[in-house]
Amino acid sequence: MTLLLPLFIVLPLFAACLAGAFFWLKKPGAELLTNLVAAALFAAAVGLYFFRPFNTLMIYDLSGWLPPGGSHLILDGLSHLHILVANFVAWLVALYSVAYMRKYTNRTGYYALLLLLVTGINGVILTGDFFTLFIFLEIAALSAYALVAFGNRRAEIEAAFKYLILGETASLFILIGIGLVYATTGTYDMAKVSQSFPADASAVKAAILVLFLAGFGMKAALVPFHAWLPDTHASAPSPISALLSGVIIKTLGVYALIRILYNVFGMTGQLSLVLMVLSGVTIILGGLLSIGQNDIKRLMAYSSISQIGIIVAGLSLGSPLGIMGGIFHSFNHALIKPMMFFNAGAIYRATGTRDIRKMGGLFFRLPVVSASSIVGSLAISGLPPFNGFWSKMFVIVAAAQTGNLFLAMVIAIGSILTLASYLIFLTGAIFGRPNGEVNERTPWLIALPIVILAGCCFAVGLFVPFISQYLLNPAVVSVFNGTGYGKLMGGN
Amino acid sequence: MISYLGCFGLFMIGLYGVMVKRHIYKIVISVLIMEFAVDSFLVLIGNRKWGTALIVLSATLIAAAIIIRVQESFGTLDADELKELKG
Repeated sequence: MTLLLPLFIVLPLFAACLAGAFFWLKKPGAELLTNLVAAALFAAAVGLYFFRPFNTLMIYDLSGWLPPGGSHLILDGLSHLHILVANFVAWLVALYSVAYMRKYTNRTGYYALLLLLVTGINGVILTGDFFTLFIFLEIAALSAYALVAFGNRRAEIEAAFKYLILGETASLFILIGIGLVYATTGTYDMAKVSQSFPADASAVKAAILVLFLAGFGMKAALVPFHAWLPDTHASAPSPISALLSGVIIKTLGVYALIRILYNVFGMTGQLSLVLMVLSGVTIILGGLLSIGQNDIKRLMAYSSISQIGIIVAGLSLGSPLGIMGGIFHSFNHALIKPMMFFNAGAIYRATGTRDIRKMGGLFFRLPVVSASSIVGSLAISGLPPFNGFWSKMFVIVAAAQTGNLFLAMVIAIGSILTLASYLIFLTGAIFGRPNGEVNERTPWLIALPIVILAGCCFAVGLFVPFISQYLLNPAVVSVFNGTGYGKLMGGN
Repeated sequence: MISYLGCFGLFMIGLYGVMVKRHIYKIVISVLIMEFAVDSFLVLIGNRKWGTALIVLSATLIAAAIIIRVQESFGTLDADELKELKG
């Protein structure tokens, strides 16, 4: 069944080329193609759980070459969880786009770029060597720049320009880091690098880690590098905001960073301290900035920054519970935040505005959207019985267990700030006096992905033991293997 | 060694340009300078992958497309004038 692995890259890439052909021939059909491909990839990601024996690796050697020339795709617990979530969200985004993108022209180009984005994300998650990682990172980032500019108005172009310049700078930082890794070890293969990195090259190692931290930190929007995120998330079309917030900052940023820090170079105390400080600042600053926002998508974008801080805080602790909490929070955020951005898109369609001051009393006029907004707001603020409560609790308990009481307090304060900002959204837009016009009822194709995600928030909150046993524990095991990752590869 | 330092210097010049320059062309050219620095670094360590040049070339193409749109909708190429999004 290892043959399924390249499918995650080849199928969307081929479909993107096909959609590109549709674009030149001016034929419809890209919509259906994207939905079919995205659903097939999600089904394949679920199906792989039945074929991959528990806590084992699946390795596929690309084109039969062996390293250093060739590279391979690796599926372990961590990448499996990410591939599952990424393709689930991508499928819902494709579904949501069908109705949402009707008002845009050139939809075929949109779907071609979306498929290319999915190719890049899947490639980043599955790849086992640095160079392929960089190539897929750039494929995903380039299509993301183009998709952010898709609406073609002033705000969108400005956001895309900022994103492009910052994103390319980050990519070049990462590329120098990769060059240094090659210069030191003579291989791009992650498993080999983890085994053969010379112990006496600690200065080079520090330089590489700083470059990767800056580069992937920029992709993940950790605080000193977060300036691009609110602009892009607020300006992109809503389904793309959902994908950016739910998947891209996590796979291109956090996942790649954690894979490299834990599995290739090994986590050290200093590194964990740096990540803790960065994540603490990210949590507080993201939370504070989200409170003053009047644009609902900008509010959600700043809250994404805060949540990324909590994810990195959990992962920086280095204890099994902390890693599990971080991964679980990333999983939950990937369910909640796309739902909130879908809601924002539906509200924008119905009312024609994203300004909280110009809307009010939507509860009886947009019932599905309002109900799921309430679910999402409570879940992301960490109130029981929703999923966000459990993951935040895991991170806070882990922080307290490892003696980082200050970090635990910061996370709790961050949750309160998140709750405050979402209460402003709920009281201003959903409850309160009716204000502004509602021009349409929510179409069922827009309501369906929202309802699915709201259901997931409930279900994950109720079945935490099941989720943690089958989805999270394998991921924690593969992170916790540390540099033993290389040995597991069987001398490859 | 001197050539490695040259690469580093070139990268720093590019980084300086990205952070300080305000004209959009100059910002994009600074990114290109950084790219040349990284490319020559990869040549120096003896492993040339043409993929990187192609990738950054495509980034430049997207940058060009966005610059055209900036010129069309803002009527200026001054990055300081791009202030639709704040807060």
